[in-house]
Formats: sequence, C-alpha cells, structure tokens
Amino acid sequence: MPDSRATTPPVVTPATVDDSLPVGAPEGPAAEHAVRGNGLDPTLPAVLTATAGSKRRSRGRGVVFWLALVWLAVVVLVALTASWLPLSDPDKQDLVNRLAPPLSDGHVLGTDGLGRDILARLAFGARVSLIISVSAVSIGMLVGGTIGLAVGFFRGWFESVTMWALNVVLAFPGLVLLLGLVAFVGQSLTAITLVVGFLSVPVYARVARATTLAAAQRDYVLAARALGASNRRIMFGEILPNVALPVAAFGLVALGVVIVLEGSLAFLGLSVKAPDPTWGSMIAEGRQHLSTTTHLAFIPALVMFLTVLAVNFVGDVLRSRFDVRESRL
Amino acid sequence: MSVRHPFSSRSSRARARDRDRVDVSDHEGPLLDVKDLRTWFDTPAGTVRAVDGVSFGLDRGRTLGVVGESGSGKTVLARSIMNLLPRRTVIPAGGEVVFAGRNIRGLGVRAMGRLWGRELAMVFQDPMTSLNPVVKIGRQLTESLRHHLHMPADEARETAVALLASVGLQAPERRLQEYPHQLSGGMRQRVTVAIALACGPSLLVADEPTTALDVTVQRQILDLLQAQQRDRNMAMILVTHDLAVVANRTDEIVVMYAGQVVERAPTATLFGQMRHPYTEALMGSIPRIENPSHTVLQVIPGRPPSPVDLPRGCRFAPRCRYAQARCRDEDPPLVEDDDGHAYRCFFPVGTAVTTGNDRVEEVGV
Repeated sequence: MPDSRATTPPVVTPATVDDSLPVGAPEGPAAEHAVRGNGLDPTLPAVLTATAGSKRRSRGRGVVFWLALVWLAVVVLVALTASWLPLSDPDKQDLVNRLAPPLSDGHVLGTDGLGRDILARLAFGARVSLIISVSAVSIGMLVGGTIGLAVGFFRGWFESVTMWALNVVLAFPGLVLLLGLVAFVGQSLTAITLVVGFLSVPVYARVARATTLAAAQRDYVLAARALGASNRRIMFGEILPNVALPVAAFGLVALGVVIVLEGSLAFLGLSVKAPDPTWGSMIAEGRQHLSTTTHLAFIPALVMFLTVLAVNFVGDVLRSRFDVRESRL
Repeated sequence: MSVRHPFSSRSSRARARDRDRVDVSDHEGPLLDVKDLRTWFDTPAGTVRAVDGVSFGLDRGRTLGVVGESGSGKTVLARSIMNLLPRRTVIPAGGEVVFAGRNIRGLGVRAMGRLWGRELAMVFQDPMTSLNPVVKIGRQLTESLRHHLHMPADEARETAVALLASVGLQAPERRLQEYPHQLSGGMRQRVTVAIALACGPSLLVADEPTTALDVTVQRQILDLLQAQQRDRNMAMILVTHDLAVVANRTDEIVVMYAGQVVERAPTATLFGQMRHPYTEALMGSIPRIENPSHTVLQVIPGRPPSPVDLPRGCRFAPRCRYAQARCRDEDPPLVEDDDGHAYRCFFPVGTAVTTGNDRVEEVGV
C-alpha cells in the first residue's frame, strides 16, 4: 500500500482511495480495486486537457479584454476624480477660442461652440453616464430580480397577476413612456435614474423568473428540502445563486444600453439640465456645427461608442468566465 | 438522549436544541412501519397508480432493499416515505407511514422540517443534479449543521471536514472551497452521502445511489453506505433496479412490480428460495461470468404494464411464463408464510405448476 501512495498523482482522482482513509472508508476488495484502478485512471488525461483548454481560451481573449478593462477603468477613474484633475472648468466659456480644433493650445481636445473645453466636459459628462447607468441597472436588477425570483418560486395567482402587470408595462413603447415620465417628474439626475431603473424592472423580472422556474425543478432543490431547508433558505441559498448570474449578465449588457439611452434623452433635450455636460447633450450641441467642424459631435460619440463596446466586451468575458453551469459539469 | 453525532463536542446551544429534537430512541417497535401505502397521481392520461398498497416494516440499524424495474414505483415509494412529492398532483389514496410511532404521511412542510435532515435523510440518484452547481461544497455541507444543530461556523466547518474524511475524500479542507464541477462523479456522490449523514439521521433513503456512476465507483459508494449504516446503527432503504446490488448488503428485500410488492423476504431466504416468478426472472436476467461468451441474455419478455391501465388479475401475468387462466382473472393476494416470506402469486416458483416444465435448464438458476 505505501507504494501505491507514492505513485498517487497529485491530482486526486475518483479512484484514489488509499489506506490513509479514516474509519468508515471502503476497505478490503473495494480499496484494492481502487488502487488497481489508479494505474490506468482514464479520467486523468481528460481532466488535464480540459483545464489546459480553458486556460488557453481565456488567454486568447486577453489583449482585447485587458484593453477594454483599462478603458473602463480610465473612464471610471476620470469620472470619480474629475473635480481634482487639472482640467479647466467645463462651464467656463472661452469665446475667443470657440470651435478650437483638437491639440490646440490649452485645449487638448479643442473647444465647443461656446469655447468650453471638450476634455473637461467629457470628464464631467462621464459622471452622468456612469451614475445613471450603474444606478438604473442596480435598481432594475434588485427590484426586478426579487420580483422574478419570488413569482418563479411561489407560482400561483401571485405569479399570474404580477406577470400580467409587468407585461402591461413592457407593452408600452419604452422611449415614449420615458419621455412622458421625465417631462412629468422633472429633469434631475435622480428622477431620470429612477425612471430608467423602474422601466427596466419587467425585463429583469422575466429573466429572473425564467431562470428560477428552471432551477426550482432541479434535484438539488429537492435535496435541500429533504435536508429540512425552509422556503426562504431554498429561495436565497439554492436558487438565488443560480439566478444571480444570468441576471447580472443581462445587467452588464444593459449598462451599455442605458448609456445609449441617456444619450438619446440628452439628444432630445430631456436629460440633465444644461449647462451640466453629458455625452448625449455634447453630441446634440455638436450637431449644429457638423457642417463646419466635425470633432464636436465626433469626439463624445467616439467616447460613448468605446465605453459601450468595452462594457459589452468585459461583460461577455466575465459572464462566460463565471458561468459555472451544468454545461461544465 | 445520547448524542449520536459522532464528530464533535457540541455547543451548549446545540445540546439545548437536542432536547426538543424529535426523539426516536425511546420508541419501541419498528422505526418505520409502512402500511398499505398508496400514492396515485392525477395526470391527463388518467390516474397513475405509482405505489399501490405497499407495506413493510424496518427496524433501526437494519437495511431494506427495494428492487424493481424502471417504472415499478420504487422512486415514488422512496419519495412518499420522505414526504417529498409535489402535493398538487398527488391523490391522497391512503396508507400510513409510521415513523417512530407517529404517522408522518401527509405532514406539512413545517412539521416535516423537524424530521427532514435530522431523522430522515436521502441520497439521490444523480450527484450531477443533486448538488447545487454554483454553491461551494463547504456551504452545502455546513448548511444543515448550522441550521439543525445550531453549530457556530467554525465548529460546523470542522465537522464538515471530519464528515468528508469519513466518506473517503482526500484533502477535505480543500474540497470545502470547491464547486461540484471540480469533483468527479464518485467524489460528488461521496459528498452527497456526507451531506445526508451530516445531522446523524436515523433513517437514510438511498434512491438508486449508484445508477448514475461508473461501474468501478459503484461498489465504493455501496461499501461506503454500508459502512456508514453499520457505524451509525442507522436504518437504510436501498432502492435499486439491480438485485446484485442488494444481495450482500441488505437484511430484507422487497421486490416491486407495477406499484405493488410482489415478494418480500429476508435476503438469505429470498436468494435461497425465491417464490415469485418475477423475482426469478429478474435473477435470471443477470448475466453470469461463468457462462460461455455469446450466451444470449435472459430477458423478461414484454414491458411493465402502463400504470394508468393495469391488467386484470395478476399484474405480472401478461409477462409470466407460468401464468394460468386464474392469474388473468383474479388478483393474487400477498400471502406470508411462517418464515416471514411473503409473495403475491397463486403458483409460486417451486410448486407443481412451475416445476412441470424445464425451468431449471432454461433459466439456469
């Protein structure tokens, strides 16, 4: 037996049952059998190749993934520290230097139609985009996810009524409803965030409900019940971890959508009030000068495009990385 | 009551909790007494009589084997005993499941919550699906320890490590941090056994615990279950479709067919003298190593009857090689002889009708 332990590979395989086991472990013929099976363990190469394969895959995604991550980090960092960075005041008008091209003296990215520094406005505009997208997505995920989890778990009339109500909200044309609500509630950052957040609740609820329905039928839920788990513990301990991931994956994609949505609102003049900068309102203002100077609209559009692209890309990679589902079992 | 949990000294809170634990150790008589259990389902196709009048008893520290083909009602029987069936579709057709002197049939979730995990535990067929793929092994294992036994986190962790070691997993500390997909099938089933045993149940129901596993691992898991059952003096119901699995590991065997018990006997008696033609046919269908290669396997002709449309008379008659006219008219009762050997047959194996032909040569028993 000591020999067998010496040849035991470092990776513990199913057949690795040696004599170091405590009382209660299989003994006699079974243990013998296991040790014999050790020499030609068929699962070992499979395990090794599988691990190597997944590593190679994630390394292949590396460069673009890291670029996207760096871009997002820069955007977030700039948004957080905009007040302390050596930027000019985003609202300060430099009427002498109106419509200055990029790389001109004192204005790295040039100035807009009122001579305001574009770089400074981009930095402060990032705040609006980030606050609205992150908060609205969080609201939608939390509220919608909870509703979906509850209706998917308890079913019954509660589910029918809730899903009916959510479908009614979903059936409204989103942007029109948004315009109406913003006009009604007002144009503050908080109001816009709340409206966007609550309008997205039905979508998250549907995603969460669908996943809950599937998870609730699995054997591990029955096994948890057979161990005396209460409904609450099954819901939050067993099902929630399975639901959280698809909902979060959806939320990551939605981050980009909300950034674009804020742009649309700003373009229609319904985002945060002027003169506070947002990317969307910068594009809208740049439109007036498109015939003469393109960089006014082009630079904020490019920044928004890159940010949404990076969010989607990072979201995609993170999702597949943390996706510990049956497919990998 | 003696502390049956073998692994750790218990906190005072846990001991206090033990006092209001459902106490089964004082109970006299069989631990489990299943009386005329009927579990029927309401389906669009009609009423499915999945379990139709099953009775047996089981003492503490004993092992019962439940054997039958797919669709014979084994799994529904196991889940009926555990009270784990979806309430909406089940027709309350009668019967009792008396556990430690108390009928638990139809108890609500709240009342069962005190028994599940602590007194009754279950090992499922497929460890791929009975472990939560996105929850670490450690949490799946400590959950019930903390909930039922009110162990503090570090104590539950130590107990979990001891449990994993006792089911034969190496490097148990590391396993706690792993997800089920990082383990092989056999290791996963060891984990589910550890989870089921965590709170020291007095009855373990193992529903085809090895069917989804590699042949080489099956035996390890069965040995593990048997060793744990002995060490803990626990009662165990081992559900399987394979007579060979239960042959050396059970005290008594129940053979099921179409929702009914067709034969019930102590293991040695059953293998020494099987009386029901179905048991005999099951036995005959096991391939034998001493047979020359290319020997045609003995199969049971036909298929089990549809549970919504059961045949008149004996349910096995359409497939039975010894069936007589009477078998197709009358439903044979389950009769028990003096040795505690019960069978549901008018013309049991070994009597005039069945020995009249060449069965010994053909079946090769």
